[in-house]
Amino acid sequence: MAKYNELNDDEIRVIGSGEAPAGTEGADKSSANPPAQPRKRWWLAALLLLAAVALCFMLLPRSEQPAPEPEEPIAVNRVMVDTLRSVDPQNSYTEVSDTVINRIPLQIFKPVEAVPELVMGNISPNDTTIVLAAMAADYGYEGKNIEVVGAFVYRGEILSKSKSKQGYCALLNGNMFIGKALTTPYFEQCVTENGDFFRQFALVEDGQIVAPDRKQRSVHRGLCLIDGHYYVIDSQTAITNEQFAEVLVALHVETAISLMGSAHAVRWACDKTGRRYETGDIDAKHPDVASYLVWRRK
Amino acid sequence: MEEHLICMTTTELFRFTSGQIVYISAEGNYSHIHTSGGEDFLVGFQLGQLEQMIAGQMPDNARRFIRIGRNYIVNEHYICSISVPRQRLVLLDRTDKKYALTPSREALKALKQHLEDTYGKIQ
Repeated sequence: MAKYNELNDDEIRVIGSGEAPAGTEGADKSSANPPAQPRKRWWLAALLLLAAVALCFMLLPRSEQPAPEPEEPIAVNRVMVDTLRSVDPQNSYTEVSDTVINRIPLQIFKPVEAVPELVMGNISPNDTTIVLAAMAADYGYEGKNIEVVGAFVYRGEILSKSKSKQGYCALLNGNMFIGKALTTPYFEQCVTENGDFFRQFALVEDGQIVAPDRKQRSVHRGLCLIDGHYYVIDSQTAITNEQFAEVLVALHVETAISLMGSAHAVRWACDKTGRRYETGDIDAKHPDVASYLVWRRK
Repeated sequence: MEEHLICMTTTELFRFTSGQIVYISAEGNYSHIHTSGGEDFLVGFQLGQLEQMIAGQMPDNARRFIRIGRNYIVNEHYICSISVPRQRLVLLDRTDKKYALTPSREALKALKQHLEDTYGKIQ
């Protein structure tokens, strides 16, 4: 499909005509009109045959089960809409998908078979044990020092006690809990059980918008709970806090808190094929109080 | 039955007749579908993907659409004027709303030539 996109800025092409772009020789071999693309169909058939042979080769030595039912042909639209890039539950990776809601493009990251952890200080983008990382708590200047904004517990040690934000995230023994509360027993529990705790803005609670009404627009990132699974969701354009919460509710997010946003905030993910999705100042030196929510391979 | 371009994402569905689409512009991995009347719909498809969808979903009307360079697909029916020296392509929709696009001069030359070939050379 990508090759269909190949056209120089100086060329034109009548869609569906099978004509070559003006200024080039030969017919348009990549038209989507089936009768006009014999070469593409030949390649598709060859690829399917190769895939089938490879599948048989992989399955035969293990068992003598009958060959699996052939998969239904994938509709063109399905391929383009569903951009899920990984499906094997055997490994740790991040499923990455794109969607547009209310005309707001979003990128959705779902860690699979990975354990969440809060890490302080600079982490290496080359750390291959991490399948998804996103900056967590906000930090800023307090006098001359850079400090974490909001209550923060790291490995059971209280580093900050402010309650300026009502959203919270607690990590205890590999389990993560998010919600909205001015006081929560998870704070004490994280102190007594060497857990991790940070605060951020609450966005969604029980499927309802609870985001603070702030008019300034920015790129938003949210830690979201959908049907018992955690997702990191990025807005691809600058929008308000409330607009972001609205699209999360439209995505059936039950609970969500913000993560550090803006174009500079670091987030990277690694899908099953090893492809990386990076954004923010990945290679910059960040303050020691910078914190990351990371999902590591099991 | 009238043909439609149907663009589906996991949560949204857009449906346009060929006559509704004035032009489509690229924005990275996304595209803006500009419809008659001035509405602009952002869809999560690359321009090349939409080109393929038009060809596949609207076989009878696909030839109305011309891919111009990397950034535009225009509905030929709405082309109002082409100015190569000014590097300007003007589209005029059903409501007389104007859309000014700036493809490359070479692309405009090719477009002008294509229309001349199609409709006969104007002396």
